[in-house]
Amino acid sequence: MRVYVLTLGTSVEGGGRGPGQRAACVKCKAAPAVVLVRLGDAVCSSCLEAGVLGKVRTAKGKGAFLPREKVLVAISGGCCSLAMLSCILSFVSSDPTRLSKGKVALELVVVHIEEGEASAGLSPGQLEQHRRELRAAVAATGYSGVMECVPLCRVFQDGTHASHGQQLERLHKLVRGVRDMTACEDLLVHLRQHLLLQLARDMGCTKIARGDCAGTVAVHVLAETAKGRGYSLPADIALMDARFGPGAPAVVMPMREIMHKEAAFYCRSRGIPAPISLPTLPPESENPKDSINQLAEDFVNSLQANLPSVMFTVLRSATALQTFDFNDPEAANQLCGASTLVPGHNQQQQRRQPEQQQQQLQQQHRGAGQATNRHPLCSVCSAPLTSQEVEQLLASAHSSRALQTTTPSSDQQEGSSGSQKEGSGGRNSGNAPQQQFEEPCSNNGVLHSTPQPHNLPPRMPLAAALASGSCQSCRFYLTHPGAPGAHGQLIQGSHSGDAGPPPECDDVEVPPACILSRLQDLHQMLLAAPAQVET
Amino acid sequence: MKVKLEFSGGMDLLFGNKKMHEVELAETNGKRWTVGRVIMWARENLLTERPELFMKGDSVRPGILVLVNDCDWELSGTLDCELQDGDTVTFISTLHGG
Repeated sequence: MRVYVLTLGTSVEGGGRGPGQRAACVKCKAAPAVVLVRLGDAVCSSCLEAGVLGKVRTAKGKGAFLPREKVLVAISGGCCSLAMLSCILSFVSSDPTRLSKGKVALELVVVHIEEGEASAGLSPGQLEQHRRELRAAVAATGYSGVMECVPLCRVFQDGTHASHGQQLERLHKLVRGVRDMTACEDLLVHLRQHLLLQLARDMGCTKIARGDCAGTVAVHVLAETAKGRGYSLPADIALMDARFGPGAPAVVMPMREIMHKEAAFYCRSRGIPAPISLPTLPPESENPKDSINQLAEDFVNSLQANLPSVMFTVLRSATALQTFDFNDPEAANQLCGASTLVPGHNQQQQRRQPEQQQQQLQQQHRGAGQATNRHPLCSVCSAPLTSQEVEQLLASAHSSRALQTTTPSSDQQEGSSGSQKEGSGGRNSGNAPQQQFEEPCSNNGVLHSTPQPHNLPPRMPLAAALASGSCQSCRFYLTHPGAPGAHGQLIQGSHSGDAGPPPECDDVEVPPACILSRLQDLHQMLLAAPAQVET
Repeated sequence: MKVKLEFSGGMDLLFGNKKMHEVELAETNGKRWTVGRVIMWARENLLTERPELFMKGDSVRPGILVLVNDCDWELSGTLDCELQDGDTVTFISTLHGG
C-alpha cells in the first residue's frame, strides 16, 4: 500500500490500514509510525518519546534547571504537565553525590491547584476521587513523592487566619463579581500564578516549572494581542521568566515547543493515564464568543486542523519580539538565586541558602533603590509596565502625595502576605486588614499609621487606588465604569456596573492581599528611585 | 461488527460518564464503516449532551485527537479510515490542556 505525504504538510493519505500497511517511522525507519507530528513527520512511539524528551533536555541545557535547584512542578492533570514531569524525572539523579552523565540533582515538589470545590461544588468524597486519579497519573510518571493539592482559595491566605470556608467565599465573591468572561478567566490565571509563586516561595523553590505547550502559547499570543497587551507579550512566552525580581522564583516553560498532540501520545506511550480532566473556574459559558481567550483557542485549533504550520508560524513571529532582561536565562538564574547554589554543601544549607540569598538580594536592591533588576510590574496582572505607564503612575503618585493628610488614629494596616516588606514602617498583620478596604470611607483611608511617601490619598476609591498601580489595560478596566467588564467588576463587586459613577465604598469587593501588597510594593519602588527605573 | 469507543480527557462526560463503550455496528450492504461514519453514529446514539463540544460539521471538533488502535488517524486517512471488527477508536480532548 503506497503512502503519500503531501508537501503542504497535510495528512498522510492512504486507504485502509493495518499493521502490515503502516508506513515506517521517518526517523528510525524501522518501527511502524503511530503518529503524525510537526509538519508531516510520521514517527513511531520511541522516536516520539525521544523527540519530546529531547526538547525538555534542550530547555535544561539552556539553563532552565540548574544543579541543586528545588523546582516546583505545577501539574494541572493535562497531558503536557504530566509529560513534563515524566521528562524531568528522566534526567533527575537520585543521588546527588554520584552524578551520571546528563543527569542533574534536582529536588522536585509536585503541586496541583484544586478548583473542584470552588467551581463545581464537589463534595470531599468527589474531591478525593479526583485526587486519587491524579495521584495515580503522577505515580505513573515515576514520581515517588507526595503531590500537594492546594485549593485555589488559598491565594486569599494572609495574616488574618481566615478559615478555608471564608477563603472559599471570598473567591466566589470575586469570581461572581467579574461579569465579563474574558476578564474572569484572566483574573483566575493571575490568581493561579500568584498562588504558585506564593507556594514556591514558602517552600524555598527557585523555579516553577509549568507545562504550557505550543498550542497554549500560540493561543496566548493571539488573545493577548487582541486585548492590546502586546508590550508584555514577549515576557510571557519566553522559556524563562524572572520578572518577580531578585530572590523570587523564576518561571520556566520547558514544553513550550511541544504540541499537545505529542504530549498526549507521549503519555499514552509511557502508560500515563492522561489527560485527567478536572473542573476549573470559571464555569464555562455556553457561548464561546463570550471570551476572547476561548475565541483565540477555537481559532488556532480550527486553523491548525487544516494547516499544521499555523501554530509554528504564530510562535515564530511572536518569539521574534524582543524579550525583557529578566527573560535572559543567565540573568534569570541570577535573579532567582539558582546560580548561587554551590554544589558540595549539605542539603540543609542549600535549603536555607535560597532564603538568605533572597533576603540579601532584596536588601541590596531595596536599600540602594535600584530597580534595574526589577522591572515595575502591574499590580494586578504582573505585566511589565511601559515607560509611559511608569511616568503616569509616578505623576499620579506624586500628586497624591501632595493631597495626602496624615492621620495617626488609624492603626489598621495591610496584612503582610508573607513577601518581603522591609523598611515600610512596622506593618502588623492587624485585625481584619480587609476591613479598611471594605469601608475606606469609614476610616480615614490611610494605609499606614505613620506617614509614608507611598501613601495613597484618603478617600480614594479603591478602583482608583488599584489603578494607580496597574498597566494601561488593567487601569482601563478598573476605572472605566462602562467598560465591557473585566477587572472593573473586581472593584464594583455585584454592583451592576453598566454605567454611572464609581460605586459606594461599602459595596466593594476586596481583591486578594497579594494584589494589594504588590500595589504597595510598586509604589514603594517607584517613589524610592524613580530616576533609576528601567524604561 | 464490534468496535470499542474510548473517551478520555473529559469527553466521557458527554457520553454518559462512561469512558469505554463497546458497540455493535450493523453491517449495511456495501457501505463500509469509516471513522467518519462512526463519529456521526456516536453523536446520534451515544452522545448525551453538548454535541458542539464533540463535533464541528462532519468531523470532530478541532482539538480532539482521534486514535484508531492507538495510532493517529491522520496516518490512515482521518475520516475515511476504514474500521474492522475488534478495532478501538479513542478520542482524547486536548482542549484546556497543559
